[in-house]
Amino acid sequence: MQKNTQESDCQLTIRFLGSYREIVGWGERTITISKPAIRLSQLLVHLRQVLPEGAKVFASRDKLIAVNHEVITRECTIEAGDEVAFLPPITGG
Amino acid sequence: MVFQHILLQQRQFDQNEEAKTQLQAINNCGAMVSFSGYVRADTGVKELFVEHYPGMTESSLARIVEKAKDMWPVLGVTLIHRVGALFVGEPIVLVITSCSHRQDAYNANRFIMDSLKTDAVFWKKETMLVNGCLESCWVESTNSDIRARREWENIS
Repeated sequence: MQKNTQESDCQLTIRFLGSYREIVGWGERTITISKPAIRLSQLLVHLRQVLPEGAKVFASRDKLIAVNHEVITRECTIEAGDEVAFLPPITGG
Repeated sequence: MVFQHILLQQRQFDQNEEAKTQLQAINNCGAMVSFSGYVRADTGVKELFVEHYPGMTESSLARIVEKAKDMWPVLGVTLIHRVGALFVGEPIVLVITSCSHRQDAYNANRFIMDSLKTDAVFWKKETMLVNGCLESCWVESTNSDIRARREWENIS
């Protein structure tokens, strides 16, 4: 049964680009977290549980994580409406 | 006022038209350098797919152009990069730089191209003919691209 979205929930957009999109099998999806905000490390733990198809990507040491189009290099807080993207190493133009 | 034109597009570009547009928009141009990159037929490559991340890729291109403008007295810069499926022999990227003097125009142009190879948010997938069958694989960054980009770090 689908859970209704509560006021304390937050919706996030999860994206996989390039080879990661092919590994996972989709490029963009909206997920709901049952709290208003979440630390990035906690989100990764959550995604490992709910997106088993992303296991190889989450385990990759080469991956870049971008939040709202900015590459993140340290812990941060993810809030409602944020877009979290998993990027393989860029190959440039 | 520096002329600046940055664009991502699927369709082909007209190099002469873009150069003309830039030249008409700037004053007292002493040197214009135009570089076009094409899809090579390396190791049986038949098609190149260029993937970008809308929003983030445009920001990465803008940052590269801003750095070039900080480092050289640029009068005009045009950067057009194609995305999507491209075939061998087709143009993929256009960089036009204008300055008062040729050395600055050359340097700014080469800096933008070298930076594109390492800092622009693109992923490329090559489709090639291997033993009569088409195979696709994602391209990885090359050491020569990274070395070329690092050369500029020593002077910036």
